[in-house]
Amino acid sequence: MLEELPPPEADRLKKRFDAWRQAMDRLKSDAPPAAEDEPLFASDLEIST
Amino acid sequence: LSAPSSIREVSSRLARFELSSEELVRDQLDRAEKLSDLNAFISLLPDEAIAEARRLDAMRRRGEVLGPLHGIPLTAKDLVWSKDHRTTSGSKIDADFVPDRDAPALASLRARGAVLLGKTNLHEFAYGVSNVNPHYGAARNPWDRTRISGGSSGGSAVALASGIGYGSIGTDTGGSIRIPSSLCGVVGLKPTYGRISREGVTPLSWSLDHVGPMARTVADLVVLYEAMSGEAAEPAPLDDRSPLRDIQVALHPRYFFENLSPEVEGAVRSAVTVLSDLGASIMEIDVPEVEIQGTCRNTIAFAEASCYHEKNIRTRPQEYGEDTRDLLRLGLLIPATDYLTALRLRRSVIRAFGNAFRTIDVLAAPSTPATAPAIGAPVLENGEELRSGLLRLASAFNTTGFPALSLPCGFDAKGLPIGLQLASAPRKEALLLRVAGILESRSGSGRSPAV
Repeated sequence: MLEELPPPEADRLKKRFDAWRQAMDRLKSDAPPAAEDEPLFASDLEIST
Repeated sequence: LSAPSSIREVSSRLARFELSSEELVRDQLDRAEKLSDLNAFISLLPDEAIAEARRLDAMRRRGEVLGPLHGIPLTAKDLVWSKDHRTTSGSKIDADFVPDRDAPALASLRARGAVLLGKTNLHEFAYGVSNVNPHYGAARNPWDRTRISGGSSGGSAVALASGIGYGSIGTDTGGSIRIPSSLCGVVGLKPTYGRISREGVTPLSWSLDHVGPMARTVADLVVLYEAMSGEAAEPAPLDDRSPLRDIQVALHPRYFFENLSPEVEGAVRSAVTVLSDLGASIMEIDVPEVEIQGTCRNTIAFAEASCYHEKNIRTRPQEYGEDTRDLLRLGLLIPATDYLTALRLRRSVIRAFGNAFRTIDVLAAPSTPATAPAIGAPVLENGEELRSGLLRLASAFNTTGFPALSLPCGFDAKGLPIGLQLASAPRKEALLLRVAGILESRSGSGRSPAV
């Protein structure tokens, strides 16, 4: 997609993507491993008490 | 311009026939026209609102009263669907969208007699926090028109702060009810995820979106919340010097009290002192998982928003404003694996906050780390980038889905409002409203902007 955009828009998008990628990589490096019972879909996140 | 009053006061005037709903609605429409420079509205509905007010006045004369909102004018953010009225979502893409039904959140208020005055301005597709809308203009802060209202429910907050409508329906995906409430000096509740139906509300990010009420006072917020949710709020005890003696209030110094403007920190700590004076026990907690919530929330929001907008962002990109377009394109680049990782880690954030709320009743924090910046300013007064700074303190309760509200707790030296955020365990909205109502009754609901 980046190649299809004019330079100013591509530059902005790349900057935003790089910032997100860095944050996500940091998150994943610190994250605990997935447990077998971890829900994976948004519907599992309906709050119930 | 006439001074605003509360739902209770205006309802009793309507009940005594000292005022008709038609007179009230006409006065409010007149006020909205006179204050049109604030850009609070995308559409006013004068003909429909007056006709509905007349119908409700006739019902009242026959002794038929629908409830505490009978004849009361309200507004709704313009992504809440309203039958036969265009619902733009603050966009050019949906500029001509006319829903064939009301959203249940709006229908529940209308069924209790509320009159819809108009549809309020918002950040385009609710995807931002400044409410500087490229298609309908920036919603301007009534306390200082050169400053942002905050968003994305900015028009709703501006209307309320300037005395237009007795409540509004907002939505909140990362703070979009609480941020403008904080910056404009009104109250707003983001209920528990799913507590108020999201049906008929144009989505931004379906697993983070919440619908909730906004008002000038907590007392009015209670009336609206009860109507929208069907849940009764807990009444505040009268003539009790320690009405919060059974309440554990927690501060979370790390994260929620880091990098605040000094005036915001001072006002919030003063409000906590008032809570203590009212009998609440104050303690400190630490939930380490809060540090990852922002990246989890952003990743989920980016992916879900771009999924909803995928066709239009690929085929009609130039019809979006620049910041919304950039974010929607970013979301197209998020790998599915990262979206799923964010959902998985979100669960650990929810679990950690759930454990914390086993020992506390209410978490108290600032709603925003600084007061309203100037329109166009890229950073807040505390130096944080605008978007991430305004989202930081509010978004934890979208990631968890736990209820949270914002209420005014003071002003900075420039006369700009400061918001206190109170959060609780899921489905404890009644408790939050009780604590906020007691705090408001003891500290006063504050002043109004000189519009």
